[in-house]
Amino acid sequence: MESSWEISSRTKCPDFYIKEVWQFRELLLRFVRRDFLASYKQTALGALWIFIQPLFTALVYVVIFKNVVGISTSGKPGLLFYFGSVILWGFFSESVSAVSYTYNSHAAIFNKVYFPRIVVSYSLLLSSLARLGIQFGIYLLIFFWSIGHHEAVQPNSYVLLLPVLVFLLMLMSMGIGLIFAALSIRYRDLQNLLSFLIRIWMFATPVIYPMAVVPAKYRFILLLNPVTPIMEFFRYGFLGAGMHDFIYLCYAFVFSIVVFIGGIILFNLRDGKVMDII
Amino acid sequence: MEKNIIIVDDLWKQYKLGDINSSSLKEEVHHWWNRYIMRNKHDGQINIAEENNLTENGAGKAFWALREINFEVKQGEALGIIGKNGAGKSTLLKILSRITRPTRGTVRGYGRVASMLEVGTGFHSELTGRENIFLNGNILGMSNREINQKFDAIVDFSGISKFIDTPVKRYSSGMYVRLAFAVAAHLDPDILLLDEVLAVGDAEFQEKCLMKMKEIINDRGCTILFVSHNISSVLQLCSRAILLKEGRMADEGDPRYVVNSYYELIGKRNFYQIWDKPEEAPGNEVIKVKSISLRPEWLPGMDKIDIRTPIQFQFDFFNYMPSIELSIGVHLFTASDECIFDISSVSEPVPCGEFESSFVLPGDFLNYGDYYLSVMFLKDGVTPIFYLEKCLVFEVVDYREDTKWKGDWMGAVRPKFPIRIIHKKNKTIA
Repeated sequence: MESSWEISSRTKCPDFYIKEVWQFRELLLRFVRRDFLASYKQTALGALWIFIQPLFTALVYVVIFKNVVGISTSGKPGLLFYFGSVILWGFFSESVSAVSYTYNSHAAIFNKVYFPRIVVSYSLLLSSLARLGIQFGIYLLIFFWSIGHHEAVQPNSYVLLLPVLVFLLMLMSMGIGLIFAALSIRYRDLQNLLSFLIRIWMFATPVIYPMAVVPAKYRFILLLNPVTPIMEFFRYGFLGAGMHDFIYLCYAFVFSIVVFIGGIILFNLRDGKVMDII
Repeated sequence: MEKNIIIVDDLWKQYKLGDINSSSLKEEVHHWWNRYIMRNKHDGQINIAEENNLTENGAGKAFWALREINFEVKQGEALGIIGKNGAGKSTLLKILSRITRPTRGTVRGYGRVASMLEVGTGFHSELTGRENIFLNGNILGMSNREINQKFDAIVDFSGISKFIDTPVKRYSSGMYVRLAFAVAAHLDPDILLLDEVLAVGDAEFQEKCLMKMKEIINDRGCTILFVSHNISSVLQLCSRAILLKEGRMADEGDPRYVVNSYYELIGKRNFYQIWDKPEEAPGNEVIKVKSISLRPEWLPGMDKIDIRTPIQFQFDFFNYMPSIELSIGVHLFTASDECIFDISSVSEPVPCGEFESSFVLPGDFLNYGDYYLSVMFLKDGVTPIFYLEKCLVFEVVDYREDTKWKGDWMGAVRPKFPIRIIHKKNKTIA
């Protein structure tokens, strides 16, 4: 018996599309491949842009924030300090905005062919992750060079938490992205709000400064921010300075799960109606 | 007895018209509450009366694109779906291909479905032909292994093997369409949904596409649902047809029979129309049409309009506006809505009263096929006053002499311009 299917008005119980995503894994990877091939066609430096941009951003931060303004980097080498947070934050913000544009960027395809639309969202997340991987490779090169040259760099066993930290960022950015994707189908304003929100959010996250320099009365804002513990744990693990209280990591974990599930449910509820609206 | 592979059960689809963004967040929440929280009571059914009340209250105009659609498709069958523009054909196909959901009713089916609602879905202009074959193939539901197996056949069918590693943005539109169709033609689904995709490429390639479709149906036992305006391809491909009219099923059965209903629907073979009562006549406060007619100038032995027959068209109408500068434009279309010509009379000042206008479409001008005529009344040669659409519909049948060619004759027109071959006696072949 071949597989049977049914189409009706009813929305399925929210599931996590694990079966579908597995079934469409080749398409998912094909989209990732397409994004990579297409973004760097007709550029002289090609895929080098993936790390040139964050590297130069980090260098500019070193000059402006460390040398000119004089913000502390907890005594750690500036480039390493900034580059790490720039690529992590870059991954987060890029994923959120890419996933939130799932429908807008692929409306033409969605309007002609059916496949679980979340495949596109996952592919966008995976494209960001792949870029993060390449950037992290460069980070490691600088890191190992620094170990021999700076005594201040004191990595410890917390580096092993890296996969957990990245995983939490993935859940969070996917969840937030999906929520905005689902809601901005009807309320386009939310797209504008989101890009603005992400910019503000960066300042409420210890990206260009360490948690340690934040005055006590503002600390609660940073502690409410679930990205804070991820940044700080990363710095603690690799550089040996940063907040590393597991309470906050647990908070980030719970937040990620809730926002991810919420995003999936909302996306699922909206999915049936999207193509009549967009 | 072949088993049913698709069962469409009481399918309804509603679209909300008007400015979608105008609904307030409160309405949204209210709607959401009713739909998802309260639905347990109604077992997911939407009360149509209720929805229509909503419409009357002005809470967004609703429009039923499909109503009460019921049909079954058997394995290996090729079902044609025909109807006028806006009859719901594409909506039906979109529901079957899961792009949009029905408002009520269900569709059940068995096996792998592939939909071709356009060619080249997801093609990325920066990528090469090779990359795009894989991308498009994956999007259409093929696995990498499958594409690898069929890769050579796809490239071969497209006939662009030289350019396979060139970005598709450098392709001509013809090459693009060939490659795109080639991918789709090598899908191997149990059910294939097609939307007028034959209307691409040049005539030769269209013929090739049609042959390929036939091969898919006949050899692979694939079930096809085919939406088209092109009656002749429906007749060629389909074993059964459905006629949709204003979202409802108006007819179903043998394509030859259903196509007749379609012709009736679009008013085919209306050789004349007379409106005795002015209040029923088409027109407005300036122009009222009295009668329109088509008179073939029969030649001996003719009983049907064939390609040789000259046809006289006449329109009688009243003009109610004094000293208007009036002209008439005539638009002739093929059955697939392609305009063949758009001609108009000289714009002249005319008084009030009854008028007669006519023109003769010469013989040896149109190719065989179905045609319809629309008439436009213009003021000052530029401002449309009234457009009488599809007022006359007629068929021209084929007639051949002095030719051995038995196949299809391409083109919308078939004028008898002499083409000469002259033997140049003084030149010898070196």
